Amino acid sequence: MNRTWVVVTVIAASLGAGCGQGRVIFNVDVYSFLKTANRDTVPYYAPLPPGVPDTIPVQTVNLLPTGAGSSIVDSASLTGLIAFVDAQGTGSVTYQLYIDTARAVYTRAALLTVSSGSVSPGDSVNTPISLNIPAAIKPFFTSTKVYIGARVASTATSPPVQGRARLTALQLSVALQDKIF
Amino acid sequence: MRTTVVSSALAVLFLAAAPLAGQGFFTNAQRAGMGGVSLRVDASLSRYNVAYRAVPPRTIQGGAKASIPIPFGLIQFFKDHPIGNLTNDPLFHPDSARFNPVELLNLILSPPLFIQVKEPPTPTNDVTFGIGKDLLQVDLGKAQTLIPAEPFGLAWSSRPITVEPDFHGVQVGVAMWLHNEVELQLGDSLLALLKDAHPARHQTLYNVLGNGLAEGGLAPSVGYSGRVYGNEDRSMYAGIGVHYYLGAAYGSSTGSGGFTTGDTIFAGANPVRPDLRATTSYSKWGNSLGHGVGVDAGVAWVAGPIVFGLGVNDIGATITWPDTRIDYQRYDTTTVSGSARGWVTDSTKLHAETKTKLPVSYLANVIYSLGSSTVGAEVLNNGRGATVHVGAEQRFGPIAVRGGIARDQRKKVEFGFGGGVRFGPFGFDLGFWTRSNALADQRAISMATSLAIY
Repeated sequence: MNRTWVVVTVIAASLGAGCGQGRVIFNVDVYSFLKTANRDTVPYYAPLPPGVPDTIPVQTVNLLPTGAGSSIVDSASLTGLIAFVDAQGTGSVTYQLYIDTARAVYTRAALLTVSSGSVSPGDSVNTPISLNIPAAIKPFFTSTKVYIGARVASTATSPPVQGRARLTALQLSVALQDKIF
Repeated sequence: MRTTVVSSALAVLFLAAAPLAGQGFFTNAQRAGMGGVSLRVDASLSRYNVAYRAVPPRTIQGGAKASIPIPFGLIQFFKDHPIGNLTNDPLFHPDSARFNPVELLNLILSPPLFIQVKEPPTPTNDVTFGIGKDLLQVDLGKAQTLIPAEPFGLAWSSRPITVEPDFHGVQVGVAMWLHNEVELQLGDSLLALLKDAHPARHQTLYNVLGNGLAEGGLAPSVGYSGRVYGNEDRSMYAGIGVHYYLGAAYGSSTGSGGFTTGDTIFAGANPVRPDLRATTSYSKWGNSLGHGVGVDAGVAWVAGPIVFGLGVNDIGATITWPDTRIDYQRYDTTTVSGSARGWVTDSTKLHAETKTKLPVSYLANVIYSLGSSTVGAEVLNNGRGATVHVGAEQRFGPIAVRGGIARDQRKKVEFGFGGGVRFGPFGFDLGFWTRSNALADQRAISMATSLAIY
């Protein structure tokens, strides 16, 4: 895939790199990758029935097709919105987002944890997502792609609890110092 | 890798100097200060108008016999880029965080022979990529101005070495000739993607079209130039030269490189399909010689203080290469054992005859000299668009003041001004001129210095 994108990327990146102290900024619509794969919505249960996974299959999110080489990531942030739609029971829900350059994303700590607060049947709790990505994770975004995973967990105060955690927006913004090559 | 980049860049740099000289990069401070116009009957005129070989140089008063450039710019350049550290210099070192391809290209387009009073500005804006499952958008910001909407490249036809002794107006000799063309053009879709920040579309080809040509050889020549009418005060001169071009080597390539998007911009492991193809033809050194005939013709009219000339070069100069090899190459995306077949070359077309054409160049000029004032204008087309130069010189004893204006090949207006001082048989000249031969939307200013010998 890298080779096939070389023409446009080299031209664009050359000019980007040619912009002196200018930065290269990626605005990645992560939600669109999850939505297309029907992984924007994750059901939650408490207690979790046997055999029902609490995670989504790992998803691939494309970045700059040639990668960003030895560029230095100035800043990276994640913003979005998630709705916890409760169908049954009362309790609380947490949504965890995982990210890595290796497919085994669930072996590392979650990048982000979003809590719903208390949910009751009929509720649709919209919770904003906002995160400045830690320094240890920033270098991930110089690669050609990253892997994303999500886990939902629910704790019941009036079981059983059942509902859906539905992402409605998830945007990754990465600013690189202009060193593409 | 570093050595390759450095040596390649330097080679291009020095090779570029010759063609740039033919495209308005002045090594003569007097011409630079007059917007590029030539106010002397010298080699710069007789190169394009063979009739000027017969016009006495002293027809225009005040002209120098020779002008030697003083390359102060090289001192500045090597101070900024020490020669012992070139292999690590960020300018030539793509692995460096300070490497800037625009800066390097600007250096190639304008070799640092003279002092750069005002460097072409390099954009420093942010560049933004928008990426989604079905989205690729590139916003280059101010750097969009660097994306050429028109075809861009270099082309020149030159005779770097000419030995044509004159026997009473008859010239017999030989010239070394070179012809090079490199042209690139972004396809409409790629242009919209990069220049207008349009999002990438489905099932669309994004490509760059390119062609290049290089050929050269020797040209035995015979010509005549002389006065055909009039006397010392009012004369008509005419000249003609016939060249038999012998081509030593030739190569050309035309191609397209890019990719076609699918139904989703980022779908699967191979979201786009490469689309690469090229047709290359060549006749190597030692192969059958190319051959062709071209004619130069010109007239010059001298009437007291006025000199007018019109010259045309390389009329009908078509070179026939009797034995060329033509290769058709394309990138085959058909998968075999899980991977694309890659480049496929069809080399079945051998011993083909190929014709190339040298660009016709022309020069029309007029010089008016009265007392200590000289003004002039010229239109020059050396095969890649016409340039117009208008300039004047006013002498006050040993001091000369000059100014001029020009329209370059990109149809941009440029300005020149300068002056000089003469000490007996020597003189020192200074010329400033604006130039737009850079990847920038603003003019740069250079200062040329040269020593004149009268």
